[in-house]
Amino acid sequence: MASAPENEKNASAPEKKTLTLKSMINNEEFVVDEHVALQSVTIKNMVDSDCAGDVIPVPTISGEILALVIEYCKNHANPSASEDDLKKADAGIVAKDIYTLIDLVLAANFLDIKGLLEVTSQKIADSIKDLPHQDVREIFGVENDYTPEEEAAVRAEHDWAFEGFP
Amino acid sequence: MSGTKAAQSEYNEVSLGETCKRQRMTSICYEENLRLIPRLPDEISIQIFARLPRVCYLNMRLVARNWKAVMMNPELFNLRKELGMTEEWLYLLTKFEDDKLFWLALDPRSKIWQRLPPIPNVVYEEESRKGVYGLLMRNMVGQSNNLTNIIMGWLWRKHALGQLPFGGCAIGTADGCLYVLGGFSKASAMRCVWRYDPIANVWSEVTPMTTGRAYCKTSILNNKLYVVGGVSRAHGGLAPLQSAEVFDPCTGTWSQVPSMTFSKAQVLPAAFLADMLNPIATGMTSYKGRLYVPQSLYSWPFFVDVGGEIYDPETNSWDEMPIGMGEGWPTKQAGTKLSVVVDGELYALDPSSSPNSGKIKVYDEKEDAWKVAIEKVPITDFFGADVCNNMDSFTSSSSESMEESAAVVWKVIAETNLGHAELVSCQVLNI
Repeated sequence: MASAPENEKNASAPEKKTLTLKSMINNEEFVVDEHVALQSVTIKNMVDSDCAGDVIPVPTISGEILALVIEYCKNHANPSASEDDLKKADAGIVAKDIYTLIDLVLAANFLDIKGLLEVTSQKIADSIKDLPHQDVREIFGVENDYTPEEEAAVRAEHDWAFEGFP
Repeated sequence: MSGTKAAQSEYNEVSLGETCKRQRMTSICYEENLRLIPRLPDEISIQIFARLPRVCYLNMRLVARNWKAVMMNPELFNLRKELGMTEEWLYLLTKFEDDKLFWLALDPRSKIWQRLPPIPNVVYEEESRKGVYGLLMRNMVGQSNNLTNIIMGWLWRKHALGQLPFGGCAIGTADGCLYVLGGFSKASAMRCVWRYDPIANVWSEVTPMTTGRAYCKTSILNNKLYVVGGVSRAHGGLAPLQSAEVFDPCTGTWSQVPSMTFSKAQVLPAAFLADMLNPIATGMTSYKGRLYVPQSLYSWPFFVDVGGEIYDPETNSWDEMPIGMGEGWPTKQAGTKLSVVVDGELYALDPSSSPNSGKIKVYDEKEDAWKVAIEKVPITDFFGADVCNNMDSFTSSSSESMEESAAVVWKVIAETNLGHAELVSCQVLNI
């Protein structure tokens, strides 16, 4: 039983085109089926315009992040995956610390993968939504450019809005 | 394929690889300091912001100046709409014993309550508003200088806790904003209109109505805010108004609408009754593209229902309401007729005299009759007293969705102890 589909797979294997994505950060290479890689609009445009060589160099994205991106693309290239399966798989991919998520969202943006950009943005939003503003500043490295008076005014507005409610 | 061009340039970057990257890094080095999140293009940061629950925004404004600017930018809220991230919040106007009016907002999802800033207490005479001073004031407020607003807010809190103007104001929503229209101030009916913008979290004054009105009725139709009737001060007494006007939030202007005819009131049996009884609009609901205005005759404190009229914006004229609709329209109290349209059906709460036996009725257009849709409405202490507010009862009576009631499922959305408070109005904004 198990050997039949195996044979089939082998038989069709030569026709399956693959692409090699190479992280220019740590030179890690990933061999992926073309239809998986084509979920990236950026790569698709390269392939369509015949600009893609055997190895596609991907600058600014580390191997670790590229692996996540490819995992996402593989999941979403699988036509038999149910919506539920995909949701679970997506949740697994973005179950990372905020710094990894920032790298991931940059990669999704660079490679132009809309779905990944969305789930990663949502995850970042979810991870900061309950944090005090000081923590948000620190995590993102945002400089506080308020004058003390300005900050007090914004804080007063916030406190007035929420004080005294259970 | 609007993205082709951008993608093309990205592809160039891909093929150029490292060189390009380095160039890019240096060129944006300065800009990075101005970014919302230094490591991310602002476009992505805004995508993240749009996915935050709305209740976070006041906190996130504290991060930095440009964060605050974005959180208050309507563009962000347009993106929320595109992404399907809008949230329906409930806005309650409550009145405390000492006639203090308070706006509260409830985020039903997080069950977090938010207090709205008070309407700035700039009560100036009708006359001065026409002058330069009025214009100046409006501009000042319009620019929504937050600091000014907050200071005004504090002043109001400390020194003006007594009688607030806006008693008898009408409350409406349009274009994602709350509107407070008219009302009494120092015993004169006001023309002023205040708008609360939830994005900026500020009140600002918009173009006043052409007529001072208190207790007028308001409703939204085709994205325009209509007001009808109400009363004004005249000859030492209250004079009911038959006039109507409409506000276009896009242009910020008021236009006249033909006055209600009160045709029913014209055919009173005895002339002396007509002198004693004043016709007044007791409600208004936007239903099936027209405005339905139930009407009464009153000689305070008595109200006699006399059916109602329907305004059709296409013909720009009033017509009589079907008899069954007018006569069966449930009355809340003192002739007030509240109703709400959910999924195209017109509902009204019939509170009845004994507590906990209110009913919700639905209007059957074919039979021209009101029918009981829900037998028992769990209203606890609808009016005043120690209200541990059951918000649902408010929703049902004055605003939003009886989506819940459709399934005949009542749940307490949220509770808060407001002490001695009376609900004046309840609205829903979805942004």
